[in-house]
Amino acid sequence: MISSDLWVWLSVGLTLAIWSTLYKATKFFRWAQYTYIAVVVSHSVVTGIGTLRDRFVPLTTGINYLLILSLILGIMSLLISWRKYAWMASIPIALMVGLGAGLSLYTLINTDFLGSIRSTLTEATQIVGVAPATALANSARVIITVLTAFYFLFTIRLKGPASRLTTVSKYLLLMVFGFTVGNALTSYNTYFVASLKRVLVEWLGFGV
Amino acid sequence: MTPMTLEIYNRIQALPPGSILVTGGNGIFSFMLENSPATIACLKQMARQHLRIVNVPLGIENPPFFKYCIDAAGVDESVGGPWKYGRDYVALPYLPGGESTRILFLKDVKQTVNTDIYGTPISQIPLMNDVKDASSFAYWIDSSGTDIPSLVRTSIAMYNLPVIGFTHAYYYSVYTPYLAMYPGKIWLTNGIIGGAQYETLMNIKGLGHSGIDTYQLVSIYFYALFILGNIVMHFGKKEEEQ
Repeated sequence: MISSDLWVWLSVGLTLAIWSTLYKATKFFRWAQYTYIAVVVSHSVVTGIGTLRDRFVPLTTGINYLLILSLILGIMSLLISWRKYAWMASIPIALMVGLGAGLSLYTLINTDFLGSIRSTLTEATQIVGVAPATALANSARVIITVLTAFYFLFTIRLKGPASRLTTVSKYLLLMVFGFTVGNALTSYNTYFVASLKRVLVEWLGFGV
Repeated sequence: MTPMTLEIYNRIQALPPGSILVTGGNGIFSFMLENSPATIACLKQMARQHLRIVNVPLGIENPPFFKYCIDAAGVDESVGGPWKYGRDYVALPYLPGGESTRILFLKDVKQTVNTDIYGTPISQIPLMNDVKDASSFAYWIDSSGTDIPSLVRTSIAMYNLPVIGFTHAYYYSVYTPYLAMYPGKIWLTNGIIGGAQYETLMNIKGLGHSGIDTYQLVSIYFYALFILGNIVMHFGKKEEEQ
């Protein structure tokens, strides 16, 4: 049974308008495109106004006067759109980037860099005397990690049979890129499934 | 059923009633089919187990996403569910600042946020009186599906707060090295199939089931197009050669 929900009709209308581009560049597609952008921008603006109101409650109620600094820096960052005073925006932006980098750099090294090395070394010690599936997974992970890192070894120029290792590393890298593309396709496929479900199940009522 | 999804379910199941979890975060939401099913099923499980949850939006899409999940899970008392807003779950407003804000939030909740999303001071919200810092939470539930690296850096590495992530299929493959880096600290479900598995554990048939069914049909359609395209190309080539 076809849905009687107005929002479902609107949602499906936008979906079909987007799909119309498969035929050719249509006015419906452009309408859906502009509507989407307008909704996203207006949602951001409304959220931004709400955030300003909520975040500065301690300032307006006199609990935390230091928040005046955040307010000034926030206003300064808006000057980026005014050419004459755009340089003033670089101060809050530099502060934000510096603060973000300072906060996350230590943990980034500890987790993504040292953590990867630590886990590879741990897996290297868990190849013998474990379940066959674990042994296979661990040995594959250790070998692939070492060989892939080998590809980026530029300090020494490899000659003879050792240079073939670089070729193997290249194929391994390509394999990883292939898996990544495959997984990305799975995700994009799901977006399509979501819109198809909206039209077939929520709107037309198939399978309900 | 993957052991990882089962372990997430068992871990939530093992939490004592009244435990508080924190969710929300950054990333791409857009009501995507991939991370919604597991999030909705998990919210149902939390409500059934009398757990409590605080939503911390670090992306502007998060507040409507959380509301959507709460509505879809049917856990609020207004629709006959066991949860009452303020007592069992709280929706905080969007907090700008990304990772830096997450670090501050886990360090001192009350210094980071003043009101809930409706403007009520958090001192007047019963659940928020039991929340102080990272030690107040049992797990960080990442329903954004894309926020795991930041959570590893902050929640796990800085505050030793374990993370459960309902990730997209693509990100699952990207984030799996973290599972080896922090065993016993992070668990992930894999896209829509992970959601369908969680629904099976909860004995419900929701978005995950219908999504995976549609997905299979679409996959058959794509394979058919793939085969058809190759056949057409093969005969087209022969004609060209002739």
